[in-house]
Amino acid sequence: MKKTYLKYWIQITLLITLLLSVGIKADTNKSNAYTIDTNSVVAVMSFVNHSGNSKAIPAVMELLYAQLDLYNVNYLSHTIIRPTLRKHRIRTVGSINKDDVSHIKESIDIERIILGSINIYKNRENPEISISIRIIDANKLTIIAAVSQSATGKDFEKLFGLGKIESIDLLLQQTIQELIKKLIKDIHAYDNKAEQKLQPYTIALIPLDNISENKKAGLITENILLTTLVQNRYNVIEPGIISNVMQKNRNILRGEIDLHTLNQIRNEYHIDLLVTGSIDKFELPRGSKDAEIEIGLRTLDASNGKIISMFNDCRKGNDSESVFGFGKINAMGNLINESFNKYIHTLEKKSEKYFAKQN
Amino acid sequence: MRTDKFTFIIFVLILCFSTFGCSSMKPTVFLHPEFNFSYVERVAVIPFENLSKDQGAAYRATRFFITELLSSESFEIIEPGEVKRVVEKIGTTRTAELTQQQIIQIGNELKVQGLFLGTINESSIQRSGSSTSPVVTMLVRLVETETGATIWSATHTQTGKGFWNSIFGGSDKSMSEITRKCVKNTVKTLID
Repeated sequence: MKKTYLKYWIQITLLITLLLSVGIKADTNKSNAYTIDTNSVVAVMSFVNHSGNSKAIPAVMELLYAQLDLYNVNYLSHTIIRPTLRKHRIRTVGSINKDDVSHIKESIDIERIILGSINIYKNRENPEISISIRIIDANKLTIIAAVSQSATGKDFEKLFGLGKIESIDLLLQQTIQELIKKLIKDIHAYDNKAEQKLQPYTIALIPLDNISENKKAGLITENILLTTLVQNRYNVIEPGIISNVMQKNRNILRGEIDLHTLNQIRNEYHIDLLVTGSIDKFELPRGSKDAEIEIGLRTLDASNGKIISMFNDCRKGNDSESVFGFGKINAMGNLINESFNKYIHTLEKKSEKYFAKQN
Repeated sequence: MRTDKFTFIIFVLILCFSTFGCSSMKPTVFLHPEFNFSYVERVAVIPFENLSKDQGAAYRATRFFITELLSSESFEIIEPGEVKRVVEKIGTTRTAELTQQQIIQIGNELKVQGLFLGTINESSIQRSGSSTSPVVTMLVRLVETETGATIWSATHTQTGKGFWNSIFGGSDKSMSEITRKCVKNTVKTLID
């Protein structure tokens, strides 16, 4: 009898140990799985900060450079290129246009440019981080790769509350590691011309209208939408280029577009589809309250301005929760990503149906 | 026997309340009896006017309305940005009350056979004791652009709490969900 109990205790202990060891993240596979062309010089622009926390930028940039060093990326940091940017009065952050790129190339020989944004940086009981990054080809002005990474401290929680990250610095480290790992993987695939099923459409994003209470909601959501589209193999025009067109027309559009501007963008950049929309609700998780978003997106045929599809989504972090908190989405960035994955599915179906009808 | 009869009557009454004590009134609808609706192929949705205190109500309702029309695949809808450009060109602020001339002008400019005009009369949270319930009331009409005549109109109120939720409690719906439901029920009266 005693032997049987002992046997059971040993088995349970082994099972728990096994579960814990599986739960503990052992991410030692850091750098050498993927390599990129180290001859290409990459200019790193300072990230735009939507978090409202001034400590975010130095913290993020420092860790970013440390990760780029690990992957032997040949880069010029934002501090090194600052004099060039000042010389040509390039003040925009987070995006870039044709004119700015050609100005930079006059002074520095660069092949690629890294742009990024710190969407969320909340240092609280359950810290939260969301960062978006993209790399563009400085010659063709195309987006090579784009990634968004979001996480909260609770996302790392395993059994019995173990593993939860309470330090924002540690969370930031984990987030940037994952972010750069994914980015390098995508760049590697691009450089090695890996066989990828590319979507046949070129898309332009018009800035989203923001009627939520969070002033940065539109900008944050646009960044994540951009990365979702690029991750799904759509060719997306660099948003800075679109903004430049609107500025030159003195017509800054949000959530809508007129036919004249649409025709101009289509003729100049040969786009097939245009995406715009609005953010109705953007509530970050607070205490026991879960993250909540309400998004509406519209896809237009760029050749004639026809609305191909409309997508509306209301989503809360606990929508996919099953039992004991499993399945719950804690990070706002991940919640938005879920919504946009659903949008991509709609977009594929509707655009295929629409263009099949046209033909 | 009397007890059985009494129980049965109570049961029937409860059944009646649950059926008829719905979370909304039926829409009030006008449909022009002599108009040939197949003539209307291209339409524009003029941004709804907001008479409620909820600032985003009209914008939200307009967007849901466009989505509902698109999903019905009954009309070709003009891009809202283009509609806004034309409405601004005409220079009107009361979009729910366009003159006949303005309707004809917008119709010619956008090359549409019909315009949807709407008003959000109410978009608020009603409180009853400890419970709250969103309420949305909208009035939408379709005018044809040759004469400016109204060929369809519907007024509808949608609330968030049904009979069973009132008795047994339940999760309240958000304002967006109620607005969407209101729009859906309104559009249903035109496209069935």
